[in-house]
Amino acid sequence: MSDTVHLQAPLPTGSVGKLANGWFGMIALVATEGALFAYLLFSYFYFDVQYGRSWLPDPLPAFRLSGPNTAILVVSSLTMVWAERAARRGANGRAALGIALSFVLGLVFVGIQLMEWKDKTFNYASSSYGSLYFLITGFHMAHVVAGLLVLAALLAWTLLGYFDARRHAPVSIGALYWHFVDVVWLCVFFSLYVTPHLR
Amino acid sequence: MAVTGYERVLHVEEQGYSTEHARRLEEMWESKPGLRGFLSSVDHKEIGIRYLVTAFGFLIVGGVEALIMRVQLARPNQALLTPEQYDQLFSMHGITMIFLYALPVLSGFSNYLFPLVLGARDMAFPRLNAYSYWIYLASGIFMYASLVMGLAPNDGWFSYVPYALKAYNPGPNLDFYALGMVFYGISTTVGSVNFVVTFLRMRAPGMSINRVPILTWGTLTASVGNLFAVPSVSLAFLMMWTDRQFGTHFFTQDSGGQPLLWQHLFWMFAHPWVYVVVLPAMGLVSDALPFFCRRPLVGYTVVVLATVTTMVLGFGVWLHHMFATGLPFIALSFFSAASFVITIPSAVAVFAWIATIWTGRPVITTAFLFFAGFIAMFVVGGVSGVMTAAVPVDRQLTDTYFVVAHIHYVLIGINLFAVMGALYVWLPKMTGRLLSERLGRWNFWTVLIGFNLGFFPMHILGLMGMPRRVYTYEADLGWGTLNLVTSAGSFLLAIGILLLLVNIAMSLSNGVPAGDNPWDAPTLEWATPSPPPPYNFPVVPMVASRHPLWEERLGETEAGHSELLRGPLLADGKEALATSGLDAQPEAILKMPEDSYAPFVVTLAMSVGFTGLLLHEWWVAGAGGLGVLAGALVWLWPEASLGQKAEREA
Amino acid sequence: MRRLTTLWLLATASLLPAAPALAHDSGATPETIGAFPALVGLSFMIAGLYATGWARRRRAAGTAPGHRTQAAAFASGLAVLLAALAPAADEMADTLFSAHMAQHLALVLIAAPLLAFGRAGLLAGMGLGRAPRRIAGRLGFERVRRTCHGMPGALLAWFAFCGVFAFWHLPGPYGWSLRSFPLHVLEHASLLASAYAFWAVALARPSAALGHGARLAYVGTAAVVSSFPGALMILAPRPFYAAHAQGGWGLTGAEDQQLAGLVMWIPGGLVYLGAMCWILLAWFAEAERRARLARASLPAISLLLLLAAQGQARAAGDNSMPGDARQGARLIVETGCGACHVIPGITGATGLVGPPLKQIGRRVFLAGLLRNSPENMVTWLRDPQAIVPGNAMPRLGLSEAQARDIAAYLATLR
Repeated sequence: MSDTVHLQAPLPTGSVGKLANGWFGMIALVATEGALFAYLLFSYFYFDVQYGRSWLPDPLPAFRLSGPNTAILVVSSLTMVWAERAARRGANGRAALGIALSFVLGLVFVGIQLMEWKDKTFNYASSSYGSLYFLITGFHMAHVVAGLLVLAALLAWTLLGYFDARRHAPVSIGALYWHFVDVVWLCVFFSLYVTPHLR
Repeated sequence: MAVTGYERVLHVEEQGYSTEHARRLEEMWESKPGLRGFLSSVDHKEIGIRYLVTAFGFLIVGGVEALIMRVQLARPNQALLTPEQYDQLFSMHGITMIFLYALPVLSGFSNYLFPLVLGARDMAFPRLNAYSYWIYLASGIFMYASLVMGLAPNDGWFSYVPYALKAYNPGPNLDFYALGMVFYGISTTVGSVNFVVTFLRMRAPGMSINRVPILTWGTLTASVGNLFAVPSVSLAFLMMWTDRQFGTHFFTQDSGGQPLLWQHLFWMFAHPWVYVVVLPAMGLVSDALPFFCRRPLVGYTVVVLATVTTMVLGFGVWLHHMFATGLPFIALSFFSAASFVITIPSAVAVFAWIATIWTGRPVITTAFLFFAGFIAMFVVGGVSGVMTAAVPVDRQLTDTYFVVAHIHYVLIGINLFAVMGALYVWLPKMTGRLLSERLGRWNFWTVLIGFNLGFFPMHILGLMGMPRRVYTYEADLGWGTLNLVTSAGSFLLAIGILLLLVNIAMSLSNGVPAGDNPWDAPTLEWATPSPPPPYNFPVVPMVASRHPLWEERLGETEAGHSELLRGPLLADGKEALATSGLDAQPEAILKMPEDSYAPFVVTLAMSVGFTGLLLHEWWVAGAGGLGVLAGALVWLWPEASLGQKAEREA
Repeated sequence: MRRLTTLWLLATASLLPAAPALAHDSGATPETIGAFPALVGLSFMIAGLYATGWARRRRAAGTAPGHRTQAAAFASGLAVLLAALAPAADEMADTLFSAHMAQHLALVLIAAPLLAFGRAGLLAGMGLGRAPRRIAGRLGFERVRRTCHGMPGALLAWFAFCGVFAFWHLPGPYGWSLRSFPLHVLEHASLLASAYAFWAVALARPSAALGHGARLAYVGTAAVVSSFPGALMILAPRPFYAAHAQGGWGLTGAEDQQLAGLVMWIPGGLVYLGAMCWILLAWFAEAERRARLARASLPAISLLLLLAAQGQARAAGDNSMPGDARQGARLIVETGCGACHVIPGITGATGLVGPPLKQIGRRVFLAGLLRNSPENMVTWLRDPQAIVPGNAMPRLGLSEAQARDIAAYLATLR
């Protein structure tokens, strides 16, 4: 008998929180998606250092819509933290409420972002700045939409009573993805909206 | 079937392969017979063999492309191919060998071997594993559809802009490549996720991080590399596609585009990729060479360290592919120096192998010969790599046949030689029959002589100034003789590979039965029958040393003795054990999924989607996308039998 | 020892008045004239505190092999810090951007990891004595520390490190720091502090919350992301830092900037690579050590295995030879465990040296590596140094029975 193995304790069975393989899989997915955004932002700054101020649009991207929108996305992440805590305690009602709140806030983010796009004086084909602006924010938007689909599924499953205090791995995994979408937006926002003022 | 509960204590018992318990396991883990089983199987061994067969299929196709080109180049001023046909052939040859053969063939070995060497019943994500294979096959077919229509990519595998943009290349050729690579990237990414999580979670109890076979370290490192590198090339190809189709300005020469950005994004991916397609192969050799040297690998720790550092350094030196693009002078010298640094871990690995042979008692089998050839070719390819890492030499040699020689010594030397050796080692495990050693000798020497005859003269051609990617040349340049030798060598190499296929065919029909452990090897896969049953191990093995089957004779018993037939049964449905990352202590009992059509269906939907994008039929693309979403929802829907749903009182 | 510390602090303080003389030729403004000497003074004070803390730990836990290396790392870290910020270096950094970059890299990639490896924060904190730490505890500092422990703290440190480094190398903020002395101090302080936090996680002891594999990814990704500005500088055809646009020392502004990027990307990258090798080797060493440890505690564990093998495994927590929890509580007070640990139910147990023992009965691992069984708790309490050499917990000289009583009390904290 191998002396180094401990077998006496009962082991959790099935998909349990952060012991689920899916949790590790999501971390790996977040890593590779994070790399995707790193390459996008590398491209952005690559253009920036090649051309300087003249490459950026006039006027610079404004905070009027993007600022409040950033706050909305951050709040949606906080509601998701709350929802995940509730799910861990088996409080399905509160979990569903939290997921629903995050979902609604995410929808609002998408709406405001569409208004922001409509207000732009350039489009994706007018210059390399326009191409990159729409590619980066478009990629992020695609991730938000994917996140909304995930949240919708989680909401349905929670309301169907699929989860309890021991079985809620999908909520934790989905929450991780949603936080990732939020953090990536902060990086995108800082790069596209804030750094032009810091030159 | 309902789950038995939220937690339970492992039931430990002694069980063999021919007990009632094993028969029950077999029933649980077996795939259905016929087409239904073929389309729905999630067995890692099945998928691994599919990967190997498909990759060898692409190797043969890519090889035939190369042979046609070699006929064209054998003499000056030949007219077998038009310039356009030649361009398509060398592009498809590169794409095939680098993307559709080199990584998938290693994924085949890793898929087959990971659970077996780690003492697990399957990969961490069996359905994702099937999905990764189907996407690989679908993206390969997608890219090859172009060649069938005579519209193959024609700008080389690195597809430099601006030539790859619409203005200079209006046909759909590069759209096939661009969309195909985004498609293919999905397969690589999900496959990598699976390897990483399997390595961290599915090791047999007691198989701590310093006891895992090196081949899993190689694949782990390459997979982590993939997770960070593949997004770059997917992004670059997506940008190229939108530049071509929607008038964006990423790589154009007007409206503020930057053609050089293409090269940055491409090489940020492609330099790490070089290591991705060699590190797992080096891992296979590091594990299998000791079988034939009758001793453990010299310097396990430093070889792992070399593997990891090579990958990390690989992310830092992409600029050395761009020495000729007018980068700042200071940058050239720093990147040149950094490129020299990479030789250190490579040399460490080479010396570890040589020391293993030197201090061992080598048994000269065909596999051993291939591994020895691998080491020698690695050194040749490494030295020509060091030469091109020096800026002045690179300025002279870039875009000549010298570089062609270098890349083939690296890729054939480190990938193909290792793969052929590994086939002689592990094919008997997969089929239960040995390959012929006598034909094996013929196989090895034909490959070795053919390869060197075919590729060594290319170094000299490069030094003589012959540029790569020319469809023909003038007689008075004096390149004729060497080109003829090269062409002859490449045919000899092809015959060598044909001999391997003949050997495999003969072994399948009437090979000598292999037995469980024909090489008297030390790792867990050799404790299973050949071929292994669908459930791999009747009980979860418990490991106390790096060489479970050699530990008595090596005296590696300071931490106790490995137990291979006495351990946790895990027979309450398809189950596997999850263990901790550092010292592989049991953490959870995982419920493994049954066979599923979802991976195949999602792949089909995705193929429809990509075809829609290619044809600008947005409705088709949208329908494909919806299909993917629906398939994913079914796939991920929580199931009680997988322990994903709250338990209800009975 | 206390006398020595006092002497040290006095000597340091006496240096301070003489300090301006050290900086007379730096050509600095009146504002900056005392800066470096003040820094020297501050460093000496911290060194004194560190020495005191180091000595205290030795009195409590004896000398372990790693302790001298820690002290040496701390001293070299401080030396690098002072050398990097010395007036001569500063002067060069004013002209050449690449020199300024080298200065920043010396802070974040050499000084900070050395200080973190020397456990400067912990030992200087111990040097302060108990009173200030208790005050910090009252102010809620401990709660912050605990919240930041583990994954959230690691992520925070990662983002702080990469973010702060990138922020100060944007042309705007970089320019502000050159124009305003307080901002320049803030720049260097925040670079050093975020880097310290980063390396404290990366080079932490094995019992820390982030596993070795996770730490490899942690350092590897930071290597690329924090060097991101460097890659851009290499590829930039024109200088974008106004103060260094002229170049100097025979370099044009653009060349100077490219050199800065290269210093960040390549020698800087090698530091990260070195750290990754170190973590990988530590990973292997840790696995070795655990295998040996398992062998050493063989009798207890094999008994359990035997029981499990016969299908007689009992629920966790059931104990065949229970101690007396009430007796244990009394022993905890007598032994003075509360000097280092917060222990619920024990009056005055508010120490902040070791981890708080709230809910210890529910933990899975002891010291990050032993399964939390009553037997292992007894083994740990009787000789912690045998299990994690060099950890801060001393041998308490408990008998088997005493240790069993204490373990019984701790098991009630769920």
